[in-house]
Amino acid sequence: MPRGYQCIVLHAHLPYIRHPEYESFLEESWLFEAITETYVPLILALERLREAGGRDCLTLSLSPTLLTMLRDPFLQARYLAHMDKLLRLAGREVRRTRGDPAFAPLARLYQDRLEEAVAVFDSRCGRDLPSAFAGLQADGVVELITTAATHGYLPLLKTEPAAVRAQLLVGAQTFQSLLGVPARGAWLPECGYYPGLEGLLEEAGYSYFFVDSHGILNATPRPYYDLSAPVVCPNGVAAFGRDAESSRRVWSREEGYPGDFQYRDFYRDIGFDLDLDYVAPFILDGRTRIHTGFKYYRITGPEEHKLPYDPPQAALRVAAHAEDFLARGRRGVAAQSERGGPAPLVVSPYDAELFGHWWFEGPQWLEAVIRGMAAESDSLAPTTPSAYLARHPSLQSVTPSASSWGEGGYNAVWLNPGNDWIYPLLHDAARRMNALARQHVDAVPGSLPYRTLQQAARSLLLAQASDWAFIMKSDTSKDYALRRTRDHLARFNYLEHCVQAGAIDERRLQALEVMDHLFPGLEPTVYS
Amino acid sequence: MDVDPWRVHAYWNVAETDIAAARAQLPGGGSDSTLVLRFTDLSPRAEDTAPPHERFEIKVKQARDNRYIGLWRDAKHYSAELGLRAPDGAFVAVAGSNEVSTPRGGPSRKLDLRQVEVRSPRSVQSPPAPTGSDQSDALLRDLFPVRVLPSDDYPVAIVEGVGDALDESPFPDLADGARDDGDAGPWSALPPHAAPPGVVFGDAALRAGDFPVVDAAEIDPYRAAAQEAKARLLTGIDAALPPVAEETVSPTDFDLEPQPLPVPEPPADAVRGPVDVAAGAGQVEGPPPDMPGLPVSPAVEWRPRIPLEGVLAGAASSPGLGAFPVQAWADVHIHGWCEPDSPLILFGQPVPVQADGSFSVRLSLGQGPELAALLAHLRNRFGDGGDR
Repeated sequence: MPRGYQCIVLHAHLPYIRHPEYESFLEESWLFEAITETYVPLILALERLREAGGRDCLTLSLSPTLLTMLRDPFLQARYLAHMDKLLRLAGREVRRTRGDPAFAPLARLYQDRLEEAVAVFDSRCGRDLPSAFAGLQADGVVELITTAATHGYLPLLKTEPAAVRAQLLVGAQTFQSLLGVPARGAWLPECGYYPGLEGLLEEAGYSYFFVDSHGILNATPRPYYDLSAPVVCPNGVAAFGRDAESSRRVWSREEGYPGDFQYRDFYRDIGFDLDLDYVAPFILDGRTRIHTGFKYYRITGPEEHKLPYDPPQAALRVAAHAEDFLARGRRGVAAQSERGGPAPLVVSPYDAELFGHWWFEGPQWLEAVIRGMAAESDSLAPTTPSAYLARHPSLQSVTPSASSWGEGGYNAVWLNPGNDWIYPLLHDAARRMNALARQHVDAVPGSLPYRTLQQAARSLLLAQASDWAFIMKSDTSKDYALRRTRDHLARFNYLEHCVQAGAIDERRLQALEVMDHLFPGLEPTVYS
Repeated sequence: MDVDPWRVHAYWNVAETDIAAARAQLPGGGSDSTLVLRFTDLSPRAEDTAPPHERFEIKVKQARDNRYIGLWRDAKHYSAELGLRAPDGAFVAVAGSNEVSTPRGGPSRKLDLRQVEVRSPRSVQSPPAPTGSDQSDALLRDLFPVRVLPSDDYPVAIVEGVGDALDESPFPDLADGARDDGDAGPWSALPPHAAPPGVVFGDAALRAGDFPVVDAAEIDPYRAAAQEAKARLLTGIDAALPPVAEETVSPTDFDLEPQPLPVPEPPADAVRGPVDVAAGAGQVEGPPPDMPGLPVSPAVEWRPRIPLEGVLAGAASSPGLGAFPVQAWADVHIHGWCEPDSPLILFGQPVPVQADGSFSVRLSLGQGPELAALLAHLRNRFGDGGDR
């Protein structure tokens, strides 16, 4: 029996971005880049682990919006068109760098990776990555969980409990309808928890969720085993606390592994480095420089001057960092196991898109860590929350403290002078959606009023995505976040007016159904 | 709303008439009263050594505003009222808040080792399959005048022209910038109390008559022209790139090799060539105001066309096909007038000029950017000439 367990959790989420009204759309590339750089490499790594006999390697949260987009034939086709363009660029790069001993192998590396991504996505997976992940779950390699419908930040929606309830129920239903099985656990958007949320999580069918470290450490009563064991809310829903130390080793810009000088530099990209005439045909509008994914330098150091990226050297650092992570984990569980009680557990959640996209070597590191645990599983073994709870079904009963994993640990990232104006509108819309659903509870499924209610609910859910408030705080894509919030609220207002006035324009309704094309089976009564 | 253990955020939006009514209830008409946010501490005594129902107030000025309020203790429960307070302490509430609980800022002193069994997960009943939004072909054609045609590997719907942008903002001033301290910013643009915010769409509506419906027979030449345009585009990309060594051409690049520039002869009037001119029909376009005296172009038939930017090339699904992507083929109609004997060149080919000086060509667009240079040899009224 292992002395302790390591639970690695990756949360994969992107906001719902799909713009059929434009020939191409910059923000859609977020999905395309994540497919190529994160999701496909992750599938390949997990398949290799499966072949090696790995079980309970990873817990993967797939958000309902991400699942919906990955299953969308329109976006699938656009992804392949995007890849076609990148492969043309790869061919150009192979020829351009020919004869350069430092860059030519890198150009070939990127070309190979792009071709592999297309082959995995299109041929092996039949453009259906969610099913590939579901297959890995069926084989016991991963545990799949999900999150709120559109990743609404629940602590700031709680003034309207029906809004939180709808986020959780629609999220659970979407996961189940797309993957065929229910999700056992919930990833709370931004780890945002408040006391009482566990009741709605139970209603949505979940048996566990995750909170940040201080959500457990400041729980009432005090957790006896601190973070080394999950706790159970009084209603029986378990809560796992994030291990701050292992998180910092990956997240921290200063101390984290991804900042190693041998690793690939994210910011040096030929989209910015080469002549615009050369890259113009391969970027969005031929004028605006963007990342292309062709990055030839390593971090090197804080100075501007960068040295060429050297994959073999980076691979050595990957091995060293994996060993360091494991060594610290083993020491931690060894110390905790002396206290007795349940087998010590280290919970390390990360954003999935960190691995491969931001941290190029991340998937390699992840695979090395899991293989390292398998090699010495008596000291530290990989596990998933469900596997751990099956071994330890009875745990200390506490109520976690309100918390998030955002800067400061609470709500300030999503509630500040840069975005606070959205909340009166979101709360008001939620109240009106609740009233609307109650007033029209007898609407017949398939009827125009019912479809309008459904679309109003979709608009509200989309407006509530935590991504918009987060982006408003930052500088990049701020206008887009503002527009999305305004648009979805506007659409909600219109649809509400249609229902209340009894004047539904089916053509407009149809247009909105085509544009915001998700949650097809959404039941408006979820708000009543 | 709680921001963190030591800070809450309050927003309010009340009618001026309600404030006036509250003021009237105060002695002397409330002329010297103050608008305040009154916070009441509802924390249970067992959790808190402070006196129960402790109150504090913050002066505010506007009927619609928001405020961040710093607190001196964590793990508290508050409610707030917006109201008018007279100098003698009399208070008339205008609006009340929800209760807010601030998080604990440190570990609890309470220790209780009782254990609970973890509950089992359960299936959430999946909702029934949608029945209302089947997006059938007929409805889509009606909505977007779509023709669904087979493509090499996926069905393609060709959209001729689709309506206005559906997402005009109802809050044009709402989110123009982040709020600065001391500036109401977006808050000032919030809709007034009791008024539901905004309208949704612009004036233009999705009316059936707005959309020219394309016959299937018309589409084939469009597709052919579009494929030619795509070939031209790829050739253009190749021409824009620096030369590279040919012996290392990768399999992915084979179709970027230079090709002869396809300059198609106008295959049919529908694609390229003069457009029938119906005298007196529709809109008459006159000469630009800064060039008076030149002959007036004859009228051309005018049909409402929707800007490409507003194209809603809805990638919709139909029961038979599932979801499918959509491509919108568009053509540009270039028409105008020039001196009757002026040579006009488009893509290196002469453009027919009618006896009265009018010309008209339609250029099909492929995917991506297209650059069309129309060269004309012009003479100005003083006899000078030059290419423009």
